[in-house]
Order: sequence, then C-alpha cells, then structure tokens
Amino acid sequence: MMKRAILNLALVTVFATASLAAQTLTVWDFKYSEVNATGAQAPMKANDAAFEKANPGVKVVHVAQPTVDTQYYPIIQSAAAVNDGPDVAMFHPGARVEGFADIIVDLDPYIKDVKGQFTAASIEMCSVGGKVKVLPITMQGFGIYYNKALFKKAGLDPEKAPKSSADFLAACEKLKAAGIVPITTGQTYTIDFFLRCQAANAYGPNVAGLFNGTQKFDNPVFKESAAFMKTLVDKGYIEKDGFSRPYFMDSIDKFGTPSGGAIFIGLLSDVGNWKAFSDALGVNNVGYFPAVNFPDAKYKDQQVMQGAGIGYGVMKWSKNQKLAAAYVKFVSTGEGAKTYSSATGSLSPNTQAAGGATTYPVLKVIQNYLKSGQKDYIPLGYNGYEDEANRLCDRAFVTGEISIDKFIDEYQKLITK
Amino acid sequence: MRRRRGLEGDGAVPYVFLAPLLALLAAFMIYPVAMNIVTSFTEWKGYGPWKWIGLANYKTMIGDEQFLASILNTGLMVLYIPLSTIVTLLIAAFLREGIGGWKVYRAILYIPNLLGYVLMGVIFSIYLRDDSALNTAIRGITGSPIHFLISPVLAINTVGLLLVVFLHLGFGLIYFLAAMNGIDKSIYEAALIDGASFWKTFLRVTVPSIRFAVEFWVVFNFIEVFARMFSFIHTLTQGGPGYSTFTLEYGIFIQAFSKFKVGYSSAWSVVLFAFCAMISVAQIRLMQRRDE
Repeated sequence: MMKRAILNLALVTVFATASLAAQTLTVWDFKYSEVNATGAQAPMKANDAAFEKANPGVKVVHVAQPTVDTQYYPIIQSAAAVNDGPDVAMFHPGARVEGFADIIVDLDPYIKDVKGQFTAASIEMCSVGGKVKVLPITMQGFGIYYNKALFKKAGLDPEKAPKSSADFLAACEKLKAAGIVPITTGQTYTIDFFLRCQAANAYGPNVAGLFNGTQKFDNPVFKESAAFMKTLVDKGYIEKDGFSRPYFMDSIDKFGTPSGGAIFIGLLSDVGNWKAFSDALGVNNVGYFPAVNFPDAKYKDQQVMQGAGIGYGVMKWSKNQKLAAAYVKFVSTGEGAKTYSSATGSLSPNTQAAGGATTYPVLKVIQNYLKSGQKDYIPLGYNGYEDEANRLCDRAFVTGEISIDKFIDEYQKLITK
Repeated sequence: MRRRRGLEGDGAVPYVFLAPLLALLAAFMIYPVAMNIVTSFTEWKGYGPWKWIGLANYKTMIGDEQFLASILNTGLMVLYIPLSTIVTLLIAAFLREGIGGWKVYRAILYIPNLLGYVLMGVIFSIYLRDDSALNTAIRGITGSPIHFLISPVLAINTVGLLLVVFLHLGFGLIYFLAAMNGIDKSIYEAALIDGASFWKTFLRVTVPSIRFAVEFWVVFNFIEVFARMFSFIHTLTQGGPGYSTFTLEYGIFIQAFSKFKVGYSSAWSVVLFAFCAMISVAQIRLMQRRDE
C-alpha cells in the first residue's frame, strides 16, 4: 500500500514537473516549408532555438502550414470557428489582417519599447483601427529585374535599364531578334505585379485614393500601362507559354537560369527576390528598375511597396499571450530580424535590422528607389480582391475575351464589389 | 398469427440498432444541411456572430456574373455525360468480347482512379502546360502549341474530357463489365447463330440487358459533375483562365474560403443541394422501378 502511494506520488510529481518545465508555444507559418537556399525555414529554426535559449522551459513548435492563401487562411478560419489553435500565426498585413482582426490580440501594450524601430508605413499596414495587430518581418514590393548577361548578348547596354516605354519596347525587340525570351512569364502574377508597379507611376502618393473615390483606374497612365501590357503580349515579348506555368516557383526558377529570359517582373522580398537572382545569375548580372516610365506621366521611377509583407500576430485564444508577444517581438527585432533578413534576402521594415548585404549591387539600386516608395493598392482591397482582379487580368491579357476599355471599366467596378 | 410488417411488432430493438446510424446521419447530413440553409440567410465569415439578412444573398446571387458563369460551366460538364457513357460502354463491350490481354487494358485504365483527382489534376497541369513536353512535340509537328489551359473554350472542354470521360473510364469499365457478366451467355450465342454483328449485339442485347446499370452510371456521373469536381479543377486550372472553368462547386469554395463570405457561399450551396437532391430523387425512382 505504501509502495503504491509512493509510486503514485512520484508519477504525479514527474508529470507536474514536466508540464511546468515545457511551456509550449505553437506557431503557424506559411513560409516554414521553404527549405531552398534562401528559404525561410533555416533562419526561422535559428530564431526559434535562440528564443528557447533566452526563455528556458519554453518549447517553440513551429508548424509548416500550406503556402497558398486559399489553403492557409481557411485553416485560420477553422481555428477561429472553434476558438482554438496556435499561439502565434503568420499573416499578410492589409486585407488579411483586417479580415481576422477580431481574433488577433492588440500588440500595443507589448511593443511600446520597439514600435519606434519599425517604419511608419509598416506600422500603418499592420494596424487595424489604430491598433497594431501584427509585427512585420518583411516589407514587400514589386519591380522589374533584368539579366545583364542576356542584355549584353543581345547587343544592349546592360548598365542602362530600359526604363522608358520606348526603350523597353526596343529592348524587347532586340532580345527577341537575338533569340532570347524577352520577358519570362508566370501564371497570373506577371500581369498583376506589372500593373501594381505601374500604379505607383500612375498615382504617385495618391494610390489610396482608388479606394475612397478620389482616384479612378481610367487614369491615363494606368490605362496606358494596361495597353502597354497588351502590346507586350501581342508582339510576343511576353512569353505566352508562361501563362500556363506557375509563377511560384517555376517562372522564378526559370528566370534564375542563365538562359531563362531577359526580363522578369518580380518581388523584392520573401521569394524570388534580388538575392536569389543575384546568387543564381551572378551578383553583377542582375539589373533592376521599379516601373516603365511613360513620356507624359507626372510621376516616374516610383517604387511600389507594401510597408509590411508578412508578419506575426498573437491569437486571442492563446493562453500564453504574453509569451507569444515576446516571441513576435523577438523574431521581428534585433538579431531575430537580422537573421531572417540576411538569410532570405528579405527587406526588413525594422530600421535597426538593415541587412549587411553590401556585396549585392542590385540591392543598392533597389534601396535607392525605395526612397520613392508608393503604396500598393491590392492590400487595400477586401479578402478575395486579388483573386478577382487576377481573373479579370486573365480575361483581358491572356484569353483576350475583353478589350482594354472593358478591362478598365470592370477593374474599377471591383473596387466597390 | 400473421406477423405485422414494419418496426412496431419488434418493440424498441430495431430502433436501438438503427440509433447509431440515425445519429450519424443527423450529425453529418441533416444538421449540416439544415445549418447551411439557415446560414444562407445570414452574413457570416465562418466564425463569430452572424447577421440575419433574409434573402439578400439569393438576390445578389441572381445578378452575380460569377454565379451565372458557374452554372453555365457546370451545365457544359453535364453535356459530357452522354459521351462518357457511350465511350465507357463501348470499351467495356470490346473488352468483354475477349480482346487478348483485356485484363491488362482494364488494369491500366483503372490506374487514374487509384491516383485520385488531386494527383491527376497536378499531373495534367504539368502535361498540358504550353511549355510541356507534350506541347513541345505538338509545336514540333504543327508549329504552335495547343493552349489546353489558357484558351477558355479549350480549358473547359479539357476539364470535361479528362474528368467526366477519361477519369471515370476505369471505374466505368469495372462496373459495366461486372454488369455484362451477368447477362445470360445463351443470348449472345443466339445472336451469334443469327449472324448479328458486334454493333447489333451491342445495341440489341448488351445495352438493354444492363439498362439499370447504365441508368445508375448516368446518375453517378451527374453527382460527380455537380459535387466532386473541385479537387481536380483546383489542381488543374483553379477555375481559370478568368472564370472559364469556374463551376458551382468551385465558386462555393472561393466565396467561403477566399472571400470569407460563408453566408453567401451557403446560398450557392443551397442551389447545389437542390440540384443534387433532384438527381437523388431520380436515382431513387430508378431503383424503385427496378424493384417493381
């Protein structure tokens, strides 16, 4: 009897100690499955280990969730339906955070000491109703990369970016004549990203006006940009084969090969960015400019950007909200932010975590353009807005079902749908 | 004494045996369907409180171009059912004739069923791209690729041919061959003695003898078209290009899980449910007729 009592006591003690010792923090992440060279998993693992070391007794369980929006967010939606799930979850700031704002903790009480480190644009994008909902680990943007070696091969000056519409068309013609694919293309996003780049030149600092009625998509520069894209398709400069090829990651990988194509409309952070392309093509072989300039445009060389690309939020159902907030702070500031940015090539919205990638000439070019950063209009829309906009782009530029005028009309209607 | 029909004479025992099944039916069929109908009158994002909005979702749906496109595309898929039925029946009849190695053909044609729609969607999305090996070969012969996935007309017909005809073929063959094996061999022998050709035998003996199996196959195909195409479309075309392969079922997914308009999505689901219910009623009628 005595022996059994002692045994039970020992068991209870062991279990109690174990439960006290291992405080688990669950993180859901749509980038954790990236295991490629500049992928997110390695720096995330390093950050998790550093956080565990700094917080003895804490175990971070980092869960790789699906990378696609239409697979990841329904999982968050399901978790919300049962009011249970991860302590920390990754989000795209903008419409997605706004859509889930009611299940994400206000971070303001936890981040008073670090809030000032983040750019104002990133904090604005991560906030809903004036409350900070997520802390960003990247800022995002789109632009036009080109392969300098292929430019040289086609007889073009690789140091002169074809920024004007005339130069751009002339460069495409010369590349095509040299048997080089002028613009490497991917399903859906090539056109989407191009229009987002061009909106920065069309509206300058007034992009947000598209959503309050002060700006319209029939703006001459935006309309000219759409017509320009149609010209690129019609003249065969846009690689039509690419319209059925997944942008992520097939087209990105294709541009990253020496003969993969001369021009690519790509991302600044996360995947398929300046670092990945420089590592693949040679640091001196990647050129960049933010948009195509039209002669009569008021704004030129404007860089479209999202103050925040991805970030982490603390979920309201978490029983470890304080610890979860500490984790979010840890990975988005200081060494955590630096570790992530330097490994992935992501641009950090944390002003104290600027990467030291000075060996990449193209980064200096990008950083220069970022000074003229303008808002991206897609995250200002509603959940599902990008999907609808992209289907419309397909109908105008891929299938040719609708004219450019009709496209502009329908694109405008989507704003208030 | 004559035993009474039904459950009354057996006391509570039958109900006890039925209870687990009824509970499952209530939990996983009746409750979700009822809740879906209720949700269709609300504005709800899948969690949290909902707002009662009456018929607003239905009014929106009637004027929604996406909804109309989805109905049209689903209707187009239905048109492939006769082709699927004829092709499957014919191949089954050929195989039944005893072509050498027919079991191997049957096994090969069944492989897509083993792989499932998701894998087949991914495989065909690679095969049918403009820059695929297949299209490279086609380009080599004709000078240009076939835009299976980026031409609206080709995309929807590609989905129809692949899903409704090709991917159902394996199961259909097994099903029809089993049905044909039940036909009395003496009928075929009589037809042979009378000098009936393959086609005459097929039309006058085989098809009438397995009429109920054919009717069931048609009903099965309807259900597949209305309620089981999502995974294939999601992995092959994602409803695109534009809305050219956007079916009713795919639209339900997009409304609920991309736009988080679960209330509105439920209204679409009610329409889908109505179609499926009509098909089920037709199926029950067929089964009753067979019993008679």
